[in-house]
Formats: sequence, C-alpha cells, structure tokens
Amino acid sequence: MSAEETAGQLTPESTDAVQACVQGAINDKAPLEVVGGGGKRFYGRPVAASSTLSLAKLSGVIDYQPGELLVVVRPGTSLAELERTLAESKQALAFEPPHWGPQATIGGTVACNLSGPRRVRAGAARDHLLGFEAVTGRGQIVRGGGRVVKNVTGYDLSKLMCGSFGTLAVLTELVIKVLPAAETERTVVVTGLDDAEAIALLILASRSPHNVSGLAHLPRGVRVPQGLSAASGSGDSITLIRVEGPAPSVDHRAPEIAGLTKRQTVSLEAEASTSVWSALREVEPLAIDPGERLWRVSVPPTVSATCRAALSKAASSPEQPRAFFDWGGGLLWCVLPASVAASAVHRVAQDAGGHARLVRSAGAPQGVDGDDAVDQAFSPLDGANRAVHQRLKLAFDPSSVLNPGRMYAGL
Amino acid sequence: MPLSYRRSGSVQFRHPMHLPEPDQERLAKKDAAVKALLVVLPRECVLFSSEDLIAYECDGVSAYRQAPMAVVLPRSTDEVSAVMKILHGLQLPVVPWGAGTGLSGGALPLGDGVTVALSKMRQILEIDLDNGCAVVQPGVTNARITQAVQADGFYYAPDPSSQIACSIGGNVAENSGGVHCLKYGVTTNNLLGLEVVLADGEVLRVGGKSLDAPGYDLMGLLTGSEGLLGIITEVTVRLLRKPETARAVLAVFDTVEASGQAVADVIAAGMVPAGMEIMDKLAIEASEDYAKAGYPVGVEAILLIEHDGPEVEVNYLLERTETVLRAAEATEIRVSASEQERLRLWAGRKAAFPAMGRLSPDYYCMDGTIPRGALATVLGKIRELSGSYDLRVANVFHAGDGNLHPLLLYDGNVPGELEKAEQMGAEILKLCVDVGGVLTGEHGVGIEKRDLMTYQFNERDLDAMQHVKCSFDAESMLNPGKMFPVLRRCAELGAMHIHDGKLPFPELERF
Repeated sequence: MSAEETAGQLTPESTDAVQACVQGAINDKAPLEVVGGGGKRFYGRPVAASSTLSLAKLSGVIDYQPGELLVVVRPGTSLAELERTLAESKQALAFEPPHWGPQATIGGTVACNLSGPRRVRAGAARDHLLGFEAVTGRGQIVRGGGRVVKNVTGYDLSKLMCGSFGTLAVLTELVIKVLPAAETERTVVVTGLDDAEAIALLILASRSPHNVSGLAHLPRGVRVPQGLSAASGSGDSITLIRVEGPAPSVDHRAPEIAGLTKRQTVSLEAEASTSVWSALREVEPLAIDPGERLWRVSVPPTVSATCRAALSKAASSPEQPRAFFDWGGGLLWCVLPASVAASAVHRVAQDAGGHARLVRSAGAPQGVDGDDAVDQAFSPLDGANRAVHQRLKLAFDPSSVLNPGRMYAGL
Repeated sequence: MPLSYRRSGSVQFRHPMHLPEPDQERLAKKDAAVKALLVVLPRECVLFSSEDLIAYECDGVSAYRQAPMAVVLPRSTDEVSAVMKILHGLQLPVVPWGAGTGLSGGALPLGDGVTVALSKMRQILEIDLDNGCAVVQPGVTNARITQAVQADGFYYAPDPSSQIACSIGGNVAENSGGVHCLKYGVTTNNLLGLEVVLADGEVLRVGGKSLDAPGYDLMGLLTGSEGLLGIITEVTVRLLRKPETARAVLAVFDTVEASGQAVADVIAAGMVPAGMEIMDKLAIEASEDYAKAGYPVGVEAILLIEHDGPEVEVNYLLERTETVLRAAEATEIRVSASEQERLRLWAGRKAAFPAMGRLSPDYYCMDGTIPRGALATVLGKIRELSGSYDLRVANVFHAGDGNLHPLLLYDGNVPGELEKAEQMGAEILKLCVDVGGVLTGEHGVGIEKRDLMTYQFNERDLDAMQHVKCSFDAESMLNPGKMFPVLRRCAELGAMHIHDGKLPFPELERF
C-alpha cells in the first residue's frame, strides 16, 4: 500500500509531535507506516498501515563536533546533506552507506542498518550509532546509549534500534560516530578471473596486512560502471581491491596488492576509484528487468562462489543470477527471475551459513497476493530466535502500531 | 498471565552493594538442587561444600563477598542447557562466571543462587583465517585467542589489561574494551556470532561467519548484557591481520589540560591513532617507581600515542604527530625507534594499576567516559574532590575514546575509608554524566554502579532496558540484583510470555 492511497501522511516536526502521532495510533488502533524520506519502501515486506508517519520534516544537524568525532542529527536529515556537512571538516560516515535514491535519510539508513563496501574494514551502521532518542510503540520517549564511543552503561539499545526497520520505536535523534575521511584512495583492477579465482584473490588481499577497504568482483554479464569500461573492454569479469589512507601509504600498498596476482593489473586513481566504489555501493551494476528481483545474500566469503552456483541451479539457468560480489565475497548481490521461489533463495543462503533479503522487485509491485517473496522477504528465523523477536516486539510495541510486518509477518 | 516471580512487587535495594536478601525458601532447595545437578554433571563439576565455594566468593571487586549456594562447572552447551533447565525448574537464580576478573561485581554470587562457571569450556573449536574468524568456547582467555593465531600473523583486537586471565565469554558479557578501541572498536565491534543458553535452558544461536544476520541485532544486544540475558556458550570472534609495525611516541606536558588539547589536535589533524593514553603526575610517579620505564618524574602529564599499520604509513603519521605535539607545546618528545623501545614506552602505562599498590594499601578504580573536550573540567573537579575527601587520586586516561580511570587511593583498614572512597567515586561518575559522558566505559554496571543508573537514565529509559530483560528472562532468574537499581516484575511492565516462539493463537494477525 503506498502513501498516495492512504488517507493521511503525518509529518511531525518535533519529538513531542512524534509521540502524539504514536499515541494517537495506539488509541485508534491504527498502525503507522514509519518512513524517513520514504526512499526505501521497496526494501522489506509491505506494511498494512492506516497512515504514514514521515520523519522528513524532523530533520537537521543538532550538534556536530568534529573534535569529538560525533554528530547529533535528527532522523529526517538527508544523507547527502549530512555527508556534505561532514566533508567540509574532512570527515565522513566510515560505514559508507548506500543512498538508493535522493530521498535517503540518516534515520532510514540506520533503521535498515545499511553499509557499503567499506563494511569489511570499518563496520556497519550498527557500529557507528552511539546513542539515540526514540518514541517506542508504547508512546514513550526513551534515550539509549550516549555521546561517547566507549560506553557499557546498561544494555546496548542502539544495536537493537539499528536494523529493526522502525518496528520497535521511531528514532527521533541519533548520535553518530564520524571519522576522518581517507586522504586518498586507489583501486587495483584485475580482469578475466572466474568467480572462484576472484574470491581466492579477494581472500588473499583481505588476509594481507595492507588494510584493504574494498573487495569486489563483477562477473561477466553485469553493467560495468563508468570508468571501468576501458579495463574490461572485452566484457571480461572485473575484480577490484581498494586501499585508502595517506598518499605515501597508498603508494606503498597498492603495488603490494597488485603483486598478489600474476595477472596484469590496472590502477584507478583518486576520483576514478571513488566513482567506481560509489557505483558498487548503489548496486548500479545490476539492472532489474520486469519480472525480476534483487536479492542481497550475506554469507561467509569462502562459500560465496559456490553459493552463486547454487542459485544458478535454483534458477535452472547458467545465465542467472546476474550477480556481483562485495565485502570480499561476504555479500552477494544478485538478480533472479521472480519464478525462483523465495524459499529456495533462503535455503541456499542458509545452507551456506548466511541469510538472504529481498531488496527490490521489478514489475511486481509489493503486496500482490500469492507472491511468496513478499511473505518471505527476509530469511526465516529459527524457533528460539523467533520467540525472542516476538517478545521484543510485544515489549516495545505491544499494540503493533509501528511498521507491523515490515520484516516478518507478526513482527 | 501470572508469572511465578518469587519476590513481592518491586524491590528497592537499601545499600549500594546490597543484593536481594537470601530467600529461605530457596536456601531450603539446596539439597534438591545438588542432587538434580549431580544427575547431569559428574561429581567434580558440582561444588557445594563451603571450602570449595571460597574461590567463588568474589570477582575482581574483592571488597564485596558472598558465597553462592553452589557452583557448577558444565563442560558443554548441552550441560549448560541441562543445568539451566534444572535451576529454572527449581526457580533458583543463576549468576554466570567467566574468569572472575570483572571490575564491577557483575559475577558477585547470590547466597540463594547458583554460580555457573564456564571455566571448563575452554576449547578453541575452529580457526578459519580465510573467513577471518575463530570459533571459541567462553572460557578461552582473551590472550589465548591471539596466541593461537599469531604465528599466522593474525590477532584478536580488543585487549583489556586483564587479557591474560579474563575469558572471552566474560569479555562478551561486559563488552570489554582495551587501549586500542578508537581505531579497532570494543568487543561488540569484533564479533560475528554467539551461542547463548537462555534462562529456561533453551539454546539461542545468533550470527555466524557472515557479516550480518537476519532479524534484530540480538548479538549486539547480548554483548554487554552482563549475564542478565543469557549464558554465553560459544563465541565467533573476528580476527584481524596484525599490523606490519607499530611505533609509539611519548610527549611530556606542563599541564594535564595541555595534554588533553594535544589529543584533540591530533584528531583534528585527521589522524586516528591505535592508542592515546594520558597519565597524570601521581600515576607517572607510581608507575616509574614500580616499572622503571624511564618516564620523566615530576612532570605534570605524559601523553603516549601509538600508530600501527604499514611501516611507510606509521612513519608518515609519526612525523605528522610530532609536528602536532610540538605545536601543542610538548616539553619533551620521545619516539620509539625499535620494538624494544616501543614496549618500554608502554611498560610504564601497563604498570600503572599494579603500581598503585606501592602508594596505598587499597585503590578503587573508576571507569567513566567523558567527551574528550571535557577533560580539563573533569580533572579540575576531581582535584577539588580529592581535596575535600582527603583522598589521593591518580589519573589514567584512555584519551582517544574519553575513557577516564581515576584511581582513588584509600586504606581499607581505616574505618570509613572504603565508604569515603565509594562516595567520592560516585561523585566522579555523576560528574562524568554531568559533562555529557557515561557511568562506565568498559567495566560494566554490575553491582557497583547499579544505584547510579537513575542518574544517567530516567525511569522510561530504564523501563526500555527492563523490557529487553523481560524478553529474555521474564522471571528474572539470571543475575538478579545487577545493573538495575530496582527489581521489577515483568508483569508490571505489561510483558507477555511466549514459549518456544509460539504465541497463543499464532494464526491471528495480532500485531
């Protein structure tokens, strides 16, 4: 159900106003679809809500202290704007979150626990949320965490907020750790490796002492980001390894990385490198045609190549899935026809020791009856996990007014 | 749904260090408990005679002691689960115990409860360098993980100063830190998976070898939960490649404030050193007297900075750091030229805590975190408090991440001095909160800081934490009396019991 079809869109501009919205929803037994900028509605299950609670107007930087390496922001703050503000002080969000469109907000980014290629080195959004204020599904304003990096005072509720897709509480303020931006970067590019060879090289690089901060592999058949087409003129596969840091360090490490393979390598310098990784972060190499779905499969790096092969088998086509690897193989982005059952994708991912998430469907709007992928957007939880999840949901949102069903049915 | 919660309503503790009063009804169950435990565990894994229990009377906070009813030493997850089922059936509370080195009294036993010690579960189950991780049992010491992989050039990053003795299970329970947190994070940033046994004996596995997991971040929630949510039975830690090299620089300053400013300047210059430590005059004198690391005595403050990484990078960063330190008016700068020199520079810092024994019969180690910019204010006020309480204070500061360790020197044999030190300690922690910091940076709340929780959090914030507790342990069987200033019934909070993932009428769309 999209916002246009619903009666109301609530756009509170203060924490108290958010509380009033949630309280109203509790009183009226009218669930809310909670969104930041609404740019990631496609991610997860559809929410059966009476109205949309948009945090787009609860925005702005409250406090930015470069010396303390932290920024305090409201959830509706545009991710692009926040990144520009940080860049003015030569700082950045080290977890390199994807935007997936211009509406991306910091609140939505944290709620979905999004992180980009640098995840392998710098951690995910969950590693950078130091504290928060939120309105729980009980309509209570609570604070968790703090404004310092090192803090073990009580349960780490920030972790619970990160990646809970707004199903437990509505974030109204976030304290985020920031770090100095890398002085410069370079990417070593190798072409023509098959999946297994490429993953082996990425593992070798990740095991090296060269502090790599990006490890990706683009098999044949995906859209090659601009700036790389020269390297892959013949449509060969492309393997990329990034190093970042002070120039003398990058100058030293990049050749060491190139020395890990006997093949010829090409280097992408500063801006060319930045633009390629930004394309990977945004999953640009994968176009989703009608009747296809974009999946995100998180697995141990060593099994990612076999995992892709298993998905090919599930799709009964060697051409499928169109896919690429990030996080040194730990993250497999792939496009599969909608005819491949969600349960099959989850089985492959879980058999490999990981999990899968449906990120986006094309041509099949969410909410279509009988679409198993809509029911099972996220890999199913086992009994013990499900029980704890349900109890947490009941504890924080007993009336189930916040994004009900966004992650799992009944959650 | 009525819960079989044995205490009547909310219990407010009377004294800072008070645990719930031992319950006669529970004490009377000792024989039955021992008998049942001996069915699932061999004789040597169940301790119940008073002489066997002495070793478990206290953890690293030795001022508070209490013998548990019994101690069990399970050898596997199955045994932990079997033990928990028995104790849950008998409604006896459980206190998890790693290595007993904790600094907040988190493992202080309950007189009417059973301590579950994980020290027999100390196998390294798997080392998987290609996936950058190791799977270990909870009783493995922090240092042993690194020892097991260092020949291959790897290490486990969090390095609490007790790392030779402290267990990884305890590290997870306390979300332990160390001196390299600014660059490498604390325990929670270096884990991939956990297995825990819940209060009713159910086994919960979260995460694994991939970088994230489906659903809520239960691993993040369990890390630092101080044994109140589950018993950690297996840990998958992330391993990092050991940096090619590390070098340290020691800078001397005329005031502690100037050393604090230098830290800010280093960060402002865009550098994130592996470690930044400040010691004040008294800490320097004590450690020099004890460790003879060659620190300049009589100076007001020293700042120790370490960079690690590829040699080229470390050399480059050290040069820049020196420039910053000079501009910050350091009166002396020493840079390590060899690994021996680096270790020597660190030797004084590492000896700071044991060195206190030379200065005073007892010391009380505080653990607040403050915004780095508040250092001057906080140290000034600590000086005032030191005067008004007439207790000497030595300051050791993880300056990179704002984690302050004032060491309050007192004599426990002088009546009233311990209480005085506790009071002053509480004032310092409140001060940390006042300037925008927190009560504890890496030692945990435990029993020590439990009653100060209301100073940092309001009732709603604490209720939210209590909701988490109730979601894992509705009957408050795990480590009751720790972390929360008031024991509350889950029923009061409007929680609801779900067994084995099965809601009453699961077919209803009730959410």
